[in-house]
Amino acid sequence: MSNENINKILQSLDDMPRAEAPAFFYTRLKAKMLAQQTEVQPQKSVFWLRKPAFAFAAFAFLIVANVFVFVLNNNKEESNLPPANDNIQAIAADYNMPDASSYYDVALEK
Amino acid sequence: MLETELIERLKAGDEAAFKQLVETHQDKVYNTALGVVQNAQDAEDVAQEVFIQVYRSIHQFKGESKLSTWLYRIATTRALDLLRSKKSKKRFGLVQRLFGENNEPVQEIADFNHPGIKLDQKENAAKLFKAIKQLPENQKAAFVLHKLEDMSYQEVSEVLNTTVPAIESLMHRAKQNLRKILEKQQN
Repeated sequence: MSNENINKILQSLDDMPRAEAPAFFYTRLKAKMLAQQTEVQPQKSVFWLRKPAFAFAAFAFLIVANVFVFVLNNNKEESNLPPANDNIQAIAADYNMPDASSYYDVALEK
Repeated sequence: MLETELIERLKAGDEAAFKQLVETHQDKVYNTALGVVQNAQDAEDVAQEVFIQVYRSIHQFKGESKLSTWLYRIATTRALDLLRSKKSKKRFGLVQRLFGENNEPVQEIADFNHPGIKLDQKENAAKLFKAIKQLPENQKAAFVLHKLEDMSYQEVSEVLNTTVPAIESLMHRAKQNLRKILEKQQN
């Protein structure tokens, strides 16, 4: 595009009359103001509930709470498990098996 | 009615004074908003919001500047705010389309025609408005106030709360950018 053309475009708004506001502007403005006044305003005490920061904080709290409960449960299950040796001894007692640690008395058997 | 008297009456909640204020300044406010948002409906919404803000916060007006300067300042800020929110909505729409939630085709917005443009300038003015749309916010505001509202650099500096040299520099950059955009549009 030639420089002359660009200059013409740049000057196209020169001496342009101002655009007029639409008819009945004041009437519509008053109607809008009235509508805004009658609108139910959200309670000031809970306005922060709508803030994205609150949503993120609540989400982060839920994640942390979930992780905490998961870790806590895992630890509990581990501590509730009886030691492996106790298990074997319990089974041995149930079946009247001699203590694995005691020696078998051959002379007594005879 | 003197401006100080009008302000006092506005502060007292006089409805006739408010009506006078609106009727005196509605075209200035509407024209400024129209230049920035380039849409008649949006410009009317912005103009209405400007007067509602003035009605609610007239008590905060200290009279350090002219009432019209204050009105222009609110109009510019509100119009730029609207553009920003429209831009973010557009971006969100693009994301929705990417995820297939909204597959409607993008509607191309028709070229804006200012009602004051002479018929022989219509085509050139439409090109210029399209280029103005791409300017950075502060350059856009300065250019619209200077060109559409026929304000001096001094007046523009008062509205935008800056110095005259800053406005001179803004206008210089705005014109340079417009030239670049127009050249690109042609190529």
